[in-house]
Amino acid sequence: MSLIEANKSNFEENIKSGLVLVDFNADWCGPCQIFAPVLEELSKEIPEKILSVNIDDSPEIAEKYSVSSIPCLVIFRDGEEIDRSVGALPKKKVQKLLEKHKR
Amino acid sequence: MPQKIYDVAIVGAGAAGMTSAIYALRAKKSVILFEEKTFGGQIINTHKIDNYPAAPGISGVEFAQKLYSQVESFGGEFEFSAVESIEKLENPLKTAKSSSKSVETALKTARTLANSLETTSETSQNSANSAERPLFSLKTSDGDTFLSRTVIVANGSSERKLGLPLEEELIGHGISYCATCDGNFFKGKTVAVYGGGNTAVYSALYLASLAKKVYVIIRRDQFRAEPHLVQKLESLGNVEVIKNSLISALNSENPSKSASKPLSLKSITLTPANTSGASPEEKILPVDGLFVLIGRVSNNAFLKNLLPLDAQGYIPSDETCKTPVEGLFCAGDTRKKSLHQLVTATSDGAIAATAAIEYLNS
Repeated sequence: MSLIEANKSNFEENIKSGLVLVDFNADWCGPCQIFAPVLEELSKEIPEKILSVNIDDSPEIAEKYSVSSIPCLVIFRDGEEIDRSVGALPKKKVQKLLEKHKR
Repeated sequence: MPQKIYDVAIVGAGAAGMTSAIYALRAKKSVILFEEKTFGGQIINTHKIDNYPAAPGISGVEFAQKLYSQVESFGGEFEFSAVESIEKLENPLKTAKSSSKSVETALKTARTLANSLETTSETSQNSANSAERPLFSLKTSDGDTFLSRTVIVANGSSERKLGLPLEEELIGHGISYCATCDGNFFKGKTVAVYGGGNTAVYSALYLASLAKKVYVIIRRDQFRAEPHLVQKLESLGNVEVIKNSLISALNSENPSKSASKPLSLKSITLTPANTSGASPEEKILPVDGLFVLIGRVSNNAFLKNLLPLDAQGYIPSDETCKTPVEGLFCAGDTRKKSLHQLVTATSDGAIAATAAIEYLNS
């Protein structure tokens, strides 16, 4: 897998089945710039999808999920939010977070 | 496999910690850096740095990334987990020689240690003396243990929180500790800033350029911030200052009325700061966002048993960056000092590393 740029037109389609990680970010957000390459790298190593949502390009998605602090990583299972974490994380922590929800 | 013994273990990969890594690595010492979050520390939240010598306008992220690459290129190792405890071990080689309460354990550790010393001494030109010096054992949140001859504590500080119910749940849903990070979410909305220091006033000025209305709530009857900033703030039409007030409660709502959706901040409750009466007059202030900027706190609770801390938990060291514990140094905001700036953080980093190098070579 690789990092998928998501927006209004493909977001719902991409989260509807399985475990999916969504990174809400913006160009002006410092920690987001540090977090992005971590997720890019991780996306090549795991079978789960990782979506990247730019909140300025897709404000309606950020609004829908009440994201008001970024970077914000939201984990979905079959289209439903099951967990979230605010702030840039090292790769190991993202893996742990994901591991918690694998079954 | 014998456990590796590092020359320098650095707790915290912000500006101070990474700078000390560069100095130690250039002196051919082996270095491991521990970081609970991502590298960079506080500076990654600064949009643009204008006061670092010879690097005007660099972004905080670019600064952090350059520093990180520099540490990596010199061979620094990063361990992304929190250090939960540091223990000073009497060097078992020495303990084994003297009469020990548990000779057996000491000998066993000595054997392990002797193995380790063989494997790690190629990179280090430490004096023979150092073989008998105490070692530090650092335990991480992942349950791993690392050994090092010296430690530099460079773990910075954290935002002071309100300590009110719902605060944790509302982080990212209306509550923020960083205006430049989250201000954009409140374009055209109503926000409150809590705090009267420079950071709070700078933040309020920034937010006033985005939000419809900014309330600034301070506990005293005057600001601690510099007068010219306060003057600027008070001249703005969409800013209202509320003095002598405390935030006593956070009130939330569930936006979609469904249990699966997170809460969001709806209003805050204000109470007069200097009331002694039984029923203080409360006021509900509807806001979309609250920026809590009431100072910072140290992260040193885990060091309590190892060295003395000041009343606020900072390490009382001077500009030598040494501590009363031999082999343990400190750098950056974790050290009690008067000027908390990027340039003083990097300065501390260089000094602490140099002190550690001298200690290792002596």
